[in-house]
Amino acid sequence: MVDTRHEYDRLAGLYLPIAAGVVLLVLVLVVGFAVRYRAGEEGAGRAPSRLASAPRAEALYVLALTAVAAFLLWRTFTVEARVDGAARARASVLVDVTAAKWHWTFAYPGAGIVVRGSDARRPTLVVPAGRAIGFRLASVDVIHAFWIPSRRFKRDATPGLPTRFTLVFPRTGTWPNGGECSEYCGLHHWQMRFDVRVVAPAAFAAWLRSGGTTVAGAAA
Amino acid sequence: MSVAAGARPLPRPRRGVLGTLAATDHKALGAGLFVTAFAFFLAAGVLALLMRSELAQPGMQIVSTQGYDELFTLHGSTMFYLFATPIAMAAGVYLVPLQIGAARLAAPRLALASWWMVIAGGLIMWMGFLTEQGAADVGWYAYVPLSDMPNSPSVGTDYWIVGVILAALAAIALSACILATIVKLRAPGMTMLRLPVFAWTMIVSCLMVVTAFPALVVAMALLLWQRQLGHVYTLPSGPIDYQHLFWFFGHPVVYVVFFPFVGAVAEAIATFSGRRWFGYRPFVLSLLAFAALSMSVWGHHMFTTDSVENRYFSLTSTALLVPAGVEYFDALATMCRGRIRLDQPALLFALGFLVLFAIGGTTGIFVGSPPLDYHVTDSYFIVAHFHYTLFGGSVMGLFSAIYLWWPKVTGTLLRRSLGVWHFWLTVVGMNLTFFPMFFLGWNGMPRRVADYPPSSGWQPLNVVASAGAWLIALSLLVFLANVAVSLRRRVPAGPNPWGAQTLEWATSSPPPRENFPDPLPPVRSYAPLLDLREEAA
Amino acid sequence: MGPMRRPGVVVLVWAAFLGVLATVLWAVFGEVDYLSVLMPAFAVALAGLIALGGAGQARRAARRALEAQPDPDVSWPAVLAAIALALALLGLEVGTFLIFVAGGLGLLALGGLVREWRAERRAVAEPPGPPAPTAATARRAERGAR
Repeated sequence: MVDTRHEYDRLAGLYLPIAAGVVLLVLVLVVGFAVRYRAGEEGAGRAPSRLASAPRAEALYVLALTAVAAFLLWRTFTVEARVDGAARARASVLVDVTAAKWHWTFAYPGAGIVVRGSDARRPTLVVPAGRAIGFRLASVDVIHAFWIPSRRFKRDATPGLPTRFTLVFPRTGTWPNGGECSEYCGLHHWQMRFDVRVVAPAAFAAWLRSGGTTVAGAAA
Repeated sequence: MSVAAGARPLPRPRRGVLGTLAATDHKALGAGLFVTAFAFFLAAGVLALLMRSELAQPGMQIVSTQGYDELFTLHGSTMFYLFATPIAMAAGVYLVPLQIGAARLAAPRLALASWWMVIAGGLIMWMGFLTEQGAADVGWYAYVPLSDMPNSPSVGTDYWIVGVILAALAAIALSACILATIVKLRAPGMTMLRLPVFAWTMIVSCLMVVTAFPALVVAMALLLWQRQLGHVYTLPSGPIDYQHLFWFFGHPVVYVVFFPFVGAVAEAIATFSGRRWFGYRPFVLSLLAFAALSMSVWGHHMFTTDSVENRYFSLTSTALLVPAGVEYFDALATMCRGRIRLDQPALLFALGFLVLFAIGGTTGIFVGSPPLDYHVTDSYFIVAHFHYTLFGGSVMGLFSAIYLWWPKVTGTLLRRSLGVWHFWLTVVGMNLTFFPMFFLGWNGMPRRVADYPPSSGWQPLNVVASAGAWLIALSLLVFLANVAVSLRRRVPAGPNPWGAQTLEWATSSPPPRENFPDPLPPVRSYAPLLDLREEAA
Repeated sequence: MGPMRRPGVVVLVWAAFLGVLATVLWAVFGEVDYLSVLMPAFAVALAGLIALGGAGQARRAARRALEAQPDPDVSWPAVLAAIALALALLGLEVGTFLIFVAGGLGLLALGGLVREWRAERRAVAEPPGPPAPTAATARRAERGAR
């Protein structure tokens, strides 16, 4: 099972310090050189250097940069294989997500439950903790995007192109506005959200059997 | 010699304001296009201020949701199509003939017509605000099917498409003129590898315009057709086809508006360090590689569609760090053991560019990794990323260019101390506005939202960002005050007030109609005037 | 690298970079989408054409002395041509009548441009002397004399 948030946090934990380090290095060098080599009073100080190239140093530097790029790509490809590869694995739970202007609909085909958002209330996505949840995402009108920030994952919902992915929700809890539409889809794009409710697997099974009514606030 | 035997020097014209609007002199034309583009910059900035003021608090206080959607659409569109691309072309139109020792631009009437196409395109695009259903509200990239007629029936959207087509055609024509000028009209002795650094950055920008902007023209023409007659972007592949066409243009455009300002920054650093630009040949090669890569990364805007080969586009996107790194090496090496004039605004903006673009560039490598992009794309993180590259990069570089070349264009000097104030206000304002957005996006705030729930906890950082936006506005007022004061109480500038190195500084300020009435200095490198000084010393 | 006299070389180097990257997309990662192959191919082909054109121009320019085409100082026909194009595109939205208006303006602009080209050709062919007067310079001279 691939925990997208865990994968993200580890990869970001590699990229961010490198990025911060590079910016800091640039800042130190720029400010340092500016101060160290600043022009003194008119006429005072040494003449500027006339050196205009250092081909060997620059070639070595390019090799170093290429090595950094190759390293980052290796880590990225490894993580991406896991995150995207998980979609092809079998999932124990299946949720059909349908995006439409401007509401989300969650259907649990096995149990015949449909949770539909409306102007009055956001829908709640109910999922069991600690299991691989398979999502099938589709749109009926324009491009939307399904984003659960706490899972560090989003996927576009493109009309005509249904897509599949797998997510794992490690801990139980309720996240109001835990899910958002992140592809601009018109006037009420900013209001197209959903709640996320992660329950224990037993409670989820009971919820399915009851037709989606035992967990308070989960029904349409 | 810049004037062939048998031709007559052209008389200095008395054109008047009306004549300037139809001038074929590349200097008048370039200055006119520059002013037009800068005016659009200020207009798009006003839209940004409205947006930032709206977002400072939850709830809609200033505009409606529909109005907000029009604001962000026109803000992005104006910035890319009517400000950044035309101003990059304007810098090329003005400076390239001078830098290569030519008397004129090739095909000046085509360039003149292009200037008017930008004006017309801009007016038509903004005309949408005057219609009943308002201006286009589909976002600056107008994804299909959102931008199709059933979802966006407003005539403002059609006007927007026409405006974009005009602006894109203008950019293509201007790029062709600049490329033809470099091919045909270089002074004797100016081989390709003796072209100034700025001229090289214009070459790669113009190459990208002519090869990538046609994809935009096609995408927009097909969109217009789709809206009127249908059957173009049909499901299932239509929306993705549109994205391919659009982003094949949409990524190179950010480099088109970036490279000329890298060139300006390079000229400023070299000039105010008293050294020629370091590592010229690796730099030229890296520019070409950079431009080729930038045309090969467009799929990184589509990582979350599950319809492109993510690994390829991640490879090309991450590879960008190599040529970018070369540019930083050359910039720092130029400064090293120079005599740096830190009091000059042109240099300050160049240094600011180096630091702020580094933030934009490194976060760009971050989002070049698909698993990381899956979280932060389409959020305020990406808004922060691209504003660091576009504002911290291109706009800082633009101001470096303005402070550097103002004396050449106007024959006067800008006030130095006002320029320093302008710089610091910009740096503080820009960071206050955009740095908090990294955190907002990371925390889950999507982009293009007119409002957000109070329970999100996003308000404090939004307040900081909005305050920063007003500080940027203040910095621009300081700049405009500098311009006004400097034009009213003129301090005359000679041909080369900075001791700069390239040929445009070898003629009077401003240059006469034919650019170089006197014989050109010998061209033996990319810094001919520095060569003369170093030989004499 | 030598002094690189031929600008076409630049474009070829760039097109070569681009071609390599596009080939990697197609060969290593498998063809993704017809557009993602078509568009880089178009870019490489266009770059090749520019390179060839640039090579030709550079040779011709090297043979001739640097041209000093006496451009007219102002060119309202060029402005009119731009406005005509804008109105024609706008006419697609606003109505066919505007397209006809734009067509008319475009013809006027074309006529004006042809007159300018003819005047330039005459000025270049003549032996050195005062520049051939165009209508605009003649009017200006008149006004200056008054």
